[in-house]
Amino acid sequence: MIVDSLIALTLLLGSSIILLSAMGILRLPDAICRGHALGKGMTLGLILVLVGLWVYLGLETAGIKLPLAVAFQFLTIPIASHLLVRLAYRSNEHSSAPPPKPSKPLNPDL
Amino acid sequence: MILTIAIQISELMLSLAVLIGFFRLVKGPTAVDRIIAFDLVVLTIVAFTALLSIEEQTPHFVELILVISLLGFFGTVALVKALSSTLPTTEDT
Repeated sequence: MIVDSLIALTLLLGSSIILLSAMGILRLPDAICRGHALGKGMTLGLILVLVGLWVYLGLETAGIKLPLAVAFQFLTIPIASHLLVRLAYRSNEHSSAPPPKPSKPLNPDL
Repeated sequence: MILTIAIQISELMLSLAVLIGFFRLVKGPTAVDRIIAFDLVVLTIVAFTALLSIEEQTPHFVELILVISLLGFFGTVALVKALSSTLPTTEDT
């Protein structure tokens, strides 16, 4: 019962974070911001869901493959997000908004 | 019991995430947005496979998780590498 509650909590938290990442991709204004939403939210949500699956299956049935999958997600999703954001930054058409004005520093004495 | 309800709510949220990904895949203004939406859909389907593995009570979908995530990563890298030689760049380094 406690293990089931733990698995349910992990799955709900991971799915909520994946949905938040999707809403960030829906609502953020720019390709760079969308890559940011993909890289952080998707990593945390997917790792939580896979940890829930690992707790459910147990060590003797799942073996070492699910920690391998978690490590693989942890390596590959930030790399893919970084490549996408780098491509969006290097291409000319990355932003529909005007470039930001250089802001005045808050405390010029520092 | 609590696990079944949690799996159903999680499947609802992941289905909504896949729908949002397809919306961005259709609407996205630039090609990079479409690749981001493709990556979102692939990774959400990976999470969906994990939920399906709990629902069916079988450990046979773990290899499927590895294979789908590997294909998604290689597809993203291949699309980025194909686009980085065709899109105009601000600096040629």
